[in-house]
Amino acid sequence: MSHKTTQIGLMVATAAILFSVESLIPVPFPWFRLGLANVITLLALKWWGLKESVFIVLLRVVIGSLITGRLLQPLFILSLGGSLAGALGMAGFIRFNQKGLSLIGISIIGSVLKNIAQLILTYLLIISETHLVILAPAMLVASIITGFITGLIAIILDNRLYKTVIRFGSNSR
Amino acid sequence: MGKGVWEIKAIYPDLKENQSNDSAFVKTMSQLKKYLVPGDYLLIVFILFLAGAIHVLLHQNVAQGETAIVSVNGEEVYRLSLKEIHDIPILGTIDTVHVQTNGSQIWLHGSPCPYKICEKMGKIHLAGELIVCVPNRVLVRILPQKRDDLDATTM
Repeated sequence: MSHKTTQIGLMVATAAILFSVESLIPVPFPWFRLGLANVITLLALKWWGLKESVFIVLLRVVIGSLITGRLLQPLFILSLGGSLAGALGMAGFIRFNQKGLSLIGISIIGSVLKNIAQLILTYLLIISETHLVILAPAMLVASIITGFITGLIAIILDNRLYKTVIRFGSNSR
Repeated sequence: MGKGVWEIKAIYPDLKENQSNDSAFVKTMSQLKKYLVPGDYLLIVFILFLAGAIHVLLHQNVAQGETAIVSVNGEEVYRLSLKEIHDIPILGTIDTVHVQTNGSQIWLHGSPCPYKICEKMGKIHLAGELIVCVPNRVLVRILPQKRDDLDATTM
């Protein structure tokens, strides 16, 4: 059990660092953000399951927002809702991993759902204009690109990070 | 001045040229086709189709807009004609931002928001186009010209 705690702790730390470093990079639109922390969510889903990955997402967003100093601000709620929606969506499709969808496809699904959730939250919390939907096509295309890149990174990291994390977790007893 | 290829080959005679500088990334890119399975292609095509469909649906009656609405926090504060020339300061939730028109286009400048996303959205002129400044809660939207059925199709 303590092994797993260490391993999940490592994943949370990695995700929180990715999340906060990435949020420092200015991007033209929020959904052009790569969402590198989603790599960790995806890998946690593949290795363990929904419970662990939601746990990692919650801790990652809270810790990352503490670091960047926007805890409980609207952007924090956007990040939280988006990441959770992405994680839940990917959890629904992870069972198709070897049967028809690769990690890239699952990552694209997560990215699309994350951006849709953020658009809806933007509508609910910040700007109540139905015309926000005009941004949806650009958002979908951007989701494909970002989801593709994060999925590719996840495939590259899958074996290597698994070995690292599991070995570290086992030796740290 | 690093070592030449021939020097490295002299030290490592067994080294083949193909192996020398293939990083994991290069290998991965060349194996990309292996990673992508049919479902991925289907998914990408489906989402692209969806995006295209939404785009076409929303831009059916794209034309040069005539009137722009400036709203702060969801409430309309100004209604400007694009055919006139304006430079109006708008009080957002952070600070003032300037809305400017030049006879056909409208844009924001001098925004107090941190990333200046709204300024990078540039000058807009088509009916239905919009500029959003999330931190400052300012929204500029050009009214659809012919018929305002956007809400009916999107709700």
